[in-house]
Amino acid sequence: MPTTASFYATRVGIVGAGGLGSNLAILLCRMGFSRLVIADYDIVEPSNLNRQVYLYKQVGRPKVEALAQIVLDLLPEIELLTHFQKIDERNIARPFENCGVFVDCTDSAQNKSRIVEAALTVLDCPVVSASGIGGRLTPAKISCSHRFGGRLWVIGDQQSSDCLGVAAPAVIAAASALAEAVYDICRLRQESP
Amino acid sequence: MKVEMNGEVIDLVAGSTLDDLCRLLALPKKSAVISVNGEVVRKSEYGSYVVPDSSKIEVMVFVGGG
Repeated sequence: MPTTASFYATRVGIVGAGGLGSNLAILLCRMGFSRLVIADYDIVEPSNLNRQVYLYKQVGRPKVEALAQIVLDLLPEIELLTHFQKIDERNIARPFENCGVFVDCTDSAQNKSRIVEAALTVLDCPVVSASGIGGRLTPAKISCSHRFGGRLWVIGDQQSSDCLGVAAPAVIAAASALAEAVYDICRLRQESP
Repeated sequence: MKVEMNGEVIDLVAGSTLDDLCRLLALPKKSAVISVNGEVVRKSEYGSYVVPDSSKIEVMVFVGGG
């Protein structure tokens, strides 16, 4: 395990605080990453509680606010910046320009396309996304592939959509794979600065 | 003219834009990210972006879930 302070001080940007984003944020904190930037414009609904980290008492609150509470209750020393806003190509630069890794954790295919396109054209850092993580059962191995000259890391088989349902075991496994990708990006950067 | 898309050579009429390519191949452009010769092109530019001859095009179509 890398032990340098700069490794875990990498600022990780996350758009989307749903099934993928909320679980990813908790995982990154537990792994030791200490600087997160999270944007989302949704509120916690009862239907989210089957796969997202939120608590029943947080229903009705903005997800970024509820997630910040959980993260800071877990690890008060985390540097967490939250943005309650919809991100697009016009406003992605300001909150995420200083990130070392950017992770798209949105849900629909159109949102993923929009956010990843904006990140790849505006930001100057590796981008991670998920596509093809649908299904009721946890895949034995969630694949990770590289696109666009290695600038985009994609978790999932790029085929299994949410038409198959997105159950807690699958989405949490995918969030773990996203966290592993973030770790690998930081490790590779440290080995080949 | 010939271009390479995701490793396969395809024929494209000279002067075609990325919008033309999406129509020709029935690509769901709202779910796609496309790069031409290593540069990602924004959807807002698909209508005016003329694909150069012998280009290498990469198309990724996302599916929902998360």
